[in-house]
Amino acid sequence: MSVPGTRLRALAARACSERTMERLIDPVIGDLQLEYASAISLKRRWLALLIGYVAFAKVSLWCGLFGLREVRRNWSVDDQRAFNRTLLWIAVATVASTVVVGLPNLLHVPDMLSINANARIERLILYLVPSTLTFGVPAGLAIGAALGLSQRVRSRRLLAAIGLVAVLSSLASLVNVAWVTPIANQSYRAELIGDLLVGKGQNELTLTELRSSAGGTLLYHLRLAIGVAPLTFAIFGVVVATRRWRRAAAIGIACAGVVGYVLALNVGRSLNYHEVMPPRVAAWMPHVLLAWATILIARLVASSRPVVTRRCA
Amino acid sequence: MARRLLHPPRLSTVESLILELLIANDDAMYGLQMVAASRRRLKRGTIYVTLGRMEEKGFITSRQEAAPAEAGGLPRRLYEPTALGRRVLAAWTAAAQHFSPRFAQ
Repeated sequence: MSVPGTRLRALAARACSERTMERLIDPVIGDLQLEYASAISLKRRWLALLIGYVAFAKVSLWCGLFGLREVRRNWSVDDQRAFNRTLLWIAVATVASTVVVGLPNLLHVPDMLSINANARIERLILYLVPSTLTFGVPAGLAIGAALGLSQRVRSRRLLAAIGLVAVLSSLASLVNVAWVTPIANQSYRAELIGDLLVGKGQNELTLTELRSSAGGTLLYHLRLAIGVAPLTFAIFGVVVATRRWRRAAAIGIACAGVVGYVLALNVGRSLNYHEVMPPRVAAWMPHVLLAWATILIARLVASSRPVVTRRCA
Repeated sequence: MARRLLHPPRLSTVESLILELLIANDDAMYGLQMVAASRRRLKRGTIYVTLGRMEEKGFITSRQEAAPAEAGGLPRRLYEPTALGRRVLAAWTAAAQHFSPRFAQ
């Protein structure tokens, strides 16, 4: 059996500098190994492992923050240009995806006024925005990353910065899907019916309310999964955007990934409805499939020849 | 190498606690030893971050233990206060005593 922490150390060595390894990672791993070796009972060994891994997680978080500081310090003009271009494409793709996702609902808004003539159309449209963003943001990140990075030279600093954008988008998306969207949905219903005390459906329950409600398990896990989606989609978009393929192919694959995710989500819902698949599996299955596709594409990219184009930087 | 100090040295509460422990111990200490001696005032997850920062400031120095303490384990890193660290702690304690009557007792 290998000494505990060896694999963690090897993993950290791939991401951290020699100095960080020497100052932060190695002492923490060393403590873990020392305490594990000196523990007399099995229970104490498990405890030593748990405490050691928690300490490692904390140090890793610090390493991430130091890494971002380094990224900022070594940021070049080329990085800045590439980052701005990618951000712009992400913004454009997010707006476009949001409009495409929200269009069917938007077209129905005027019809909804027949329910309550006093309802204000601009408010109804505003309340629809958060729910359309739940898919608009992940789709925008995948397609935008593919558009912005395809056929371009990508530095590690640029990828780290885009990773940070994806993490922040994921956090914002989680807040949106957990609290903002349900409140907006409820406001939409209240505006239509003209009664602020209208009862809540499952789509109007916040994440905390949904957790304690009966029959809301699938929706609860779906919201968590959709909250993480921007990060998964950004990784997918970055992997797809390679110099080895033509740009149109990259964009096509990114779009196919988005469509595939939505299809898998609906299949998961349906399978859960027919009690074939547990809610947790149904909610996270699209992520697993997307991650699998990302790995496959990454392998395919590694084995394919680069495409020669005039624009390289 | 210690970072050049452009401003007067600053000492946080945790940094002063680490310096106090190192100076009181007389001998070099390793991270876990400091955590144990601090009576839970220092945390395992963050002590090495603070130690790294203190080393950058030039308050302490570190070296790796000659041989692994346990078979197969990584060698431990030992920390010692520098002359600058000792002076900064002395100055910080004097200032604290001067401005806060609680410290003077």
